[in-house]
Amino acid sequence: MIRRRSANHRSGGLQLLATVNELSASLRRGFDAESATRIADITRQLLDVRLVAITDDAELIGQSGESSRWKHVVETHARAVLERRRFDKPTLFQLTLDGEQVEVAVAALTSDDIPIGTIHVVPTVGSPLQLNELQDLAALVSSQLQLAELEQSRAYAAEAELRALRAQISPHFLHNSLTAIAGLVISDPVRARSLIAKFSEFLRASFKTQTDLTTVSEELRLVETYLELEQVRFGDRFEVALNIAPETLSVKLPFLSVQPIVENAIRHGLEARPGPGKLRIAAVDAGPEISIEVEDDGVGIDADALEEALRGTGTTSHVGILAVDTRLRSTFGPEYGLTILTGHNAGTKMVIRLPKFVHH
Amino acid sequence: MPIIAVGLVTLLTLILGTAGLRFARTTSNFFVASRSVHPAWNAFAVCGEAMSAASFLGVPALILVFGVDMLWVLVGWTIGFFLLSLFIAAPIRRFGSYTIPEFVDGRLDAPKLRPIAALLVIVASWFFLLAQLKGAGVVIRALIGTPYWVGVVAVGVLVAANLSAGGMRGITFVQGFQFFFIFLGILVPFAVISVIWLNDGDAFDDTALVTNDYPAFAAEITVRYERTITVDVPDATLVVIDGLVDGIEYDARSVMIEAGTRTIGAGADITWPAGAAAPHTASVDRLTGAEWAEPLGDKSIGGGHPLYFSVAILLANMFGIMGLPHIVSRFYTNPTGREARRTNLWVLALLTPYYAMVPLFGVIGRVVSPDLLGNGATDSATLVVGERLLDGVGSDLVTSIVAAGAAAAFLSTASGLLIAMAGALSHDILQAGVPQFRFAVWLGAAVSISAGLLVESFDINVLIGWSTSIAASSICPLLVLGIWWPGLTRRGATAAAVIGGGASTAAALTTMFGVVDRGWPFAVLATPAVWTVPLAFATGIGVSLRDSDKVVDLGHKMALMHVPERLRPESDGPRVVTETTVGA
Amino acid sequence: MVLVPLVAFAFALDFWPSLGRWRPLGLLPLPWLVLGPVVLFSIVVLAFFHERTALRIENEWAEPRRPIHRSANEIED
Repeated sequence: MIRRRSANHRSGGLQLLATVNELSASLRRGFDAESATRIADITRQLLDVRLVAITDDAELIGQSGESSRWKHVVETHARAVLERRRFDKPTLFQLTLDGEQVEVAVAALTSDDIPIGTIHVVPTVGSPLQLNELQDLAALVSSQLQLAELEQSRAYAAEAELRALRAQISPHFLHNSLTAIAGLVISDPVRARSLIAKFSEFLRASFKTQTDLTTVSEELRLVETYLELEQVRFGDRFEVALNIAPETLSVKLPFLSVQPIVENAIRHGLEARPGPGKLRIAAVDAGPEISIEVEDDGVGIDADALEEALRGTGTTSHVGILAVDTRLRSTFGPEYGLTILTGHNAGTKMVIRLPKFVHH
Repeated sequence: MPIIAVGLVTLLTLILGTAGLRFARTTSNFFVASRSVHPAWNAFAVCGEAMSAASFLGVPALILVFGVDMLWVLVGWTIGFFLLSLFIAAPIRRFGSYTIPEFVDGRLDAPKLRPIAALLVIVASWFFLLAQLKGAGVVIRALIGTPYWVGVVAVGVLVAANLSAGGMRGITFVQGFQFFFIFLGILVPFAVISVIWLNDGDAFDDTALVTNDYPAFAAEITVRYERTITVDVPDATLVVIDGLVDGIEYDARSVMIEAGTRTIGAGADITWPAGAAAPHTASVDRLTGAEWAEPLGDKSIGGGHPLYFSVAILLANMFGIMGLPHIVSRFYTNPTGREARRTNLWVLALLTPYYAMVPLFGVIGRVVSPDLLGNGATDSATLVVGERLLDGVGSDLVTSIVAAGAAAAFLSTASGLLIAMAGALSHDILQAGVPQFRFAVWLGAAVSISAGLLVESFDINVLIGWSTSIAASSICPLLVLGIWWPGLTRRGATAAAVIGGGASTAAALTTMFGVVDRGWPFAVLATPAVWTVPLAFATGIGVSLRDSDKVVDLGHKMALMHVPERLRPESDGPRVVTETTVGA
Repeated sequence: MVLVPLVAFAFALDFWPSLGRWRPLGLLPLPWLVLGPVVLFSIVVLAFFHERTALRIENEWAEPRRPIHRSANEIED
């Protein structure tokens, strides 16, 4: 809402602050017809002028003041100004408006020195236009536009990061599985075929974007598929013990929360260890919560490397774990992350806690 | 020997709870956990939870004393489960909440309502738990003769220790197993009684059941009076007294006890001759066989208003079952709403034969153990059947089986209740984690044990009655309105909970302290459900209608609860999958 | 459906006490029979029919909404 106040009513500083706030609020959605109209209104009040028009890089998108059929003229002037490439001063034009001869000042709106629009101002009769005021205003609007753009870029970046985290199939695993399957194609084609089917099932599950949440039972199926695929490579080098409480099966959790942990256990725990190893996966019912534990008796994880990985500065080998932690915390809250207990050659145990019911 | 059976059941509970069931596989033959549990186990678990000391011990006791009118209790429970199936099971599973406070909070976006609902859960569960502890005290005392408090404390501590050590983690399996013990505990004696009766139709003297005579002792019997009790001796009788009667200490002397009201001291043993009319607790009117077998009539139950009482019991138990938190939480284990409802159906199918057999123990008690009418130990009616009917090994065996069943009954339900209470305290009031849960378990156990020591004089089912009244008047309306009426608002729900819960709790407390015990005031307060339940519903609806506050995202929530899940065939046959998003 | 007959039964017993003594099969008096096995099992039967109806309604809801069968080889978008 734009409050009408006379130029003398408030001190210039306060007025400016109020204006800046209104401007940035208007621009939050970006530079479009609605925000342009708002800015036009604000400008008209602020500079106390007769007409204001705003264009983007080609068309009139907003105006304020008695409506006038000057769209064509505005766009012509806009083109002229934008082509000039000198944006430090407004340009003056003469034009005939409803039979009158008037002056219009046009200033460019830029973001990062790239022109994105223009602002046209027709002063009221008897009140000559201060060109400096106009230029300052144009600069202000430009800076706000720039901020809005930056804000949008930040949002895009976050979303892209989230998407990248989501499609977390480890290339390592991809490569190994396909190699293993390839090795079986001739010696055991039946098994190779069934493994390919499982592999595609696994891929399909990991690409899912329909919902962000899956159930513990589905996730465990995924883990089962994954373990079958790994088993091709490892043979009997590890043994798996399952202890799944049926009360936990329908609990919802972000998908690919357990599989990366299991993968981590195998790769960093058991693979590195000489001789056969044990893997224990348990889903435990704890009243209004459940916990899922993945334990291996392998070589343990180096504490420093882990810390770096959790801070996001480490090597990529532990990135999957970081993703799980981030996803869990962002879904359920900061107290529901991943807990890791490990020691040198003492194995590793990773625990995640999940609430049975999530409200908002 | 029976005590060994009890010990065995307890041990099994502990082991199953902590160890869970382990499935160890090598990578060469994997095993999908989600297919490992047959849905039947969910039904067994709910049954194990639902079959408590109330049905196992309490109802036969009621029938023994009051007769056929007490069957309404069982009918009420059965209808209650049916109503659960109709109205609550599927929607609440689909909503996804585990505890009732969670449901209320999620459904109404009312975090402030959560502690209130939790408080209701705690109060309703607490009375129910007291009933179980009383059952434990009675059973242990009947088996090994220890004082009442031993059983209460031992079982209370045991259950608490088990829970805080992480037991009952595999609660589905544990309670499922307990169900089998409970069911056998009723089925075996039932079969035995039937066999005896079929073989020899005169084996039971049905004088006590149908004639206009009062129950009498079939044979000479020495009755132990565990606690001080005032009885009504019908005729002057020559007895041998060893203990305190009417203030006079007798030392195994033959005495002519006069007719009228006598006070017998705790620990006294009195030997009654065959054919003597059985004394009766003075606080309850005696019933002839005919009166006992017939409903309504002139009885003194319900403060002299048996019709009101019958209907009230029916309603209270019906709505109460719909609001008992430990049962509602068990539905969560089902993967979908449809399965929750189906589980409920199986529960109903399993409970029904059980409930059909239970009354027999009250009936047979009237014939073989009329002494219980006078020594205040009616709650042990089921237990003594074995020793009264058979001798020697047979008697021991039957009693063991029954004792095991009773133990399973009160262990399973007590555990479930303590979990519900501690969970409500730690998760919904304190909103904290596992260490607080442990603390809450011990706190709840301590309070319950202390109270349990004091409730020896209350019938198990009186305690259950209070519990169900409170649940019926507060939790049930919250659930039903929350699930089926979009117009429920925060304020409406709060009003319903406070008024319904408050009124029923106040009514329970006045009867507990014996403020009134006759006539209409007693009837209305002892079984308040007839008026507290409608009151709660009306309050909830009334306040909500005048409240302009609307719930956010209402359409989504209602759809979540009521839209059925879709079927999607997987490579190994149809599986039902939910595709609703959790409001993230 | 369930309540009304039962409550009616209760009221009937109050007004006609002789009903309470009647033994249909010569075995058990009517009230015991009714309040015992008869009611309990009929509730189960009712529940069974209710479940069938509920399932039927649910399946009707589920059918026309989305295609149920999908080829297992497609990746869902």
